[in-house]
Order: sequence, then C-alpha cells, then structure tokens
Amino acid sequence: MIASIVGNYLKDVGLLTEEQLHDLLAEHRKVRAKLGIIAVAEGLMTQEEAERVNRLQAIMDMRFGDIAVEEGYLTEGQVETLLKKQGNAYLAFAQALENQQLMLIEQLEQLLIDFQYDNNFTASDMEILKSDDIDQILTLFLPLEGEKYEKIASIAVRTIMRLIDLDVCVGRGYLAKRREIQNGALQEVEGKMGFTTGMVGRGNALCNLASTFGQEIFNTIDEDALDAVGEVVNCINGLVATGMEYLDNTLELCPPEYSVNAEAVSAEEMLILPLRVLGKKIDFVITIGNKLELK
Amino acid sequence: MANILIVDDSRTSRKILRRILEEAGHTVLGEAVNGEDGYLKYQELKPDVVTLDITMPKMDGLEALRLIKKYDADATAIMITAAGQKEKMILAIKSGAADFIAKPYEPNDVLWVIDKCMK
Repeated sequence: MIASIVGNYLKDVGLLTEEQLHDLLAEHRKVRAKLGIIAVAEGLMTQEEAERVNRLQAIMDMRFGDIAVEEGYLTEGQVETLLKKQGNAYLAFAQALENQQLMLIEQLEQLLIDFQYDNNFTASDMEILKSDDIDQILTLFLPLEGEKYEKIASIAVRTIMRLIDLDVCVGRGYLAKRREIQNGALQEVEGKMGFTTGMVGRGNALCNLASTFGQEIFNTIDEDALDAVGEVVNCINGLVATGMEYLDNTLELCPPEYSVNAEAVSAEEMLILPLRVLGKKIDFVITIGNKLELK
Repeated sequence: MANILIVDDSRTSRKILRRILEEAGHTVLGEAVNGEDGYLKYQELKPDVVTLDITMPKMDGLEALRLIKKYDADATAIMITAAGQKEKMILAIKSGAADFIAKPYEPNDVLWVIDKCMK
C-alpha cells in the first residue's frame, strides 16, 4: 500500500504521469531493492557514495556490500541489516523509480518531507508507512475518534486488495453526517452489533471497480454496475460479520441496496474513507448502530 | 457433469457463477432471481443441482430450500452466500442442504463442492 500512497502523491504533485505510476506499481512487485538504495534511504550513505560504490562494483567484480565495507561506508553488521530490507515495498518502489530513471532515492526522500508536512505526519508515522503494515497504516488515516471503525475499514481495504486492486490507495478518513455523491451501493447488517457499509462515488468513478469484479465492461453507472459494487460490499460485510461472530452471532446480512441517481449518503454519524481504486476516487462509508441512507 | 439451476438475486453473482460452471463443462439450465422464482423453476427444470443464495428479497434461500426439499426430498441444494452467516448455514444443512460455499470464493471452491455433491 505504501507504494500506491507515495506513487499517487508523486502523481498529484505532477511528478509522475498516470501511465508512469501504473508501470511503477507493476514493477515494484517484481524488483528487490538494491543495497545502495537501502543504505541511502536509511541515511547510512549519501547518493554520491552509493554511486561511487556502484562504479567500483562495475570494475571490481565484488558485491556492493563488500565494497562498501572495504571503503569504510558500512560495517558488516549494517550490511546484514540492510539486506533484510530488500523485500520492503517502499524500497522496492524507490528501486523501480530509479530503474525507470525517474527519480533517485535521495530525491524521493526529500519529496517525502513535503508529503510528511502536507499530511501532518510525525517521523514515527513515516516509519509506520514505510513498514507497509496495512492495519498500522490505516490508523494514520482514520480520525482519532474513529477507532471503532478500524476493524471494518481494515477488512474492507484488504478485501478490495484481494478482489479488485492490489494498489488501492487510502486517503484521510473523516466522520460526517452527510456526503454529497451521485451513486453507490450499501448493505445493512442487522444485529445487536449491527452496522452498514457502502461504496459511493460521483459520475462513473465506480465503473472500474464494477467492471473488475463483475467481469464485464461498464462504461457508465447503471443498475448492473451497482449490482456488482453491491456484491463487493456483500463480500466485505460477510467477512466483517465472520470476524465478529464470537461477539455477536445475531448478525444478518440484508440484501444490498443501490441508487443510480442519489444526491447524498447520510447518517447520524459515519466514517468516510476516501479510496483510490483502479485510479478512481471513491468513498467507502461505514456507520455503526445508525441508519445509513442513500438518497 | 451436472445440470444446474442458479438462484441468486444478484445478476453479477449469477453471471460469475454461470461462467465458472459452464467453463468446467456443467450445464446451467436456468437462473432465478429470488426464492419463489427458484422454487418454480426447480419444478419446471428438475436440475441435478440447485445453488441457492441465502440473502434474497421476496423469499430467501432458506425458505426456498424448505419448499424444494418438500417437493423433492432428494434435491441436491448448495447454499452460496456471503461469509458471516454461520447460523443460517447450519440451519440450511439441518434443512437438507448438501453443502455450502461462502463468498468471496475461488472457482475451484465451487467446482469441488459441486463434484463432491454429485458423487
């Protein structure tokens, strides 16, 4: 998820095109970060030092780590620690950026200072982001008073990653009573600990999600497209209900409802979690113990 | 290979299930959009297997199952529904459902259950 969060940030500030982002997200899954990138990201070497070791490596037939130790940039212990981070998603994304000759890790780290400032994240928040732990990352994007929605939001994001888009990107969640939208699908889960969730959007924003899950092309939002969206919500709610079974075995899923022409989604209190799914901005909404309406 | 009736209110679910079944060589005799429609089509089409969604408007899958089993005690009914409906799944098995499949499922989950029920 960190790759899509950082990638979308770079796109939003005009440093990547949609196509470049798409290619980078695909590539970062296939590459492992090289030691030089990790060392620079960790602040153990500068970009110049890493490049010097790279040049030496080209003529010395030695591994990067061995040269870096010989040159006094790293200790053997540090090399060992850095090697363990080669599979990290953030570093793999940085490697993909460098492979595509779009940006060096040092530039990326500089840009992330702006990202940190823009989002009001602390240094430890940034460490959480870079760890790519979805549950921990979600806590950064939910409002403080939104703790009770965490579990449902986590299952929703994981399910979307599994069924629709591995590179789903989350935005800042917030509590609201009303959100103007144009269409969407909701499903109520009745019971002592009942809740309702839904996916809503504007225009044709939900089309990509509907097309992927429904296995047919939807260019405009109609009842069939929203039926597919409703099925995704149904899958999410079923998994949430399974996770809550030990607390409440009275939960019953109602048939999903949808509206092709709505003005707003509203509830006494709901969490709105903005998502970017398959490149489109949509909202995942959750309410617990309240009626969620789509009108 | 089995002749199958799909009962589900979601067009998406019916379409995905039909594709899985047909690609594996099964024949989908028909589709129904709620329990009542499913019960009527079961009598008309007499399938080897009927798949029943549990959560449907008008008449749910459990009620349709009871009617179908009353009509045909040997009916092979497979419940297909979202996860998190354990109590209803148990009720369905007690009411004579042959097995159940929880959404989201993989194609092989469906085919394995159908093959098992046909043996």
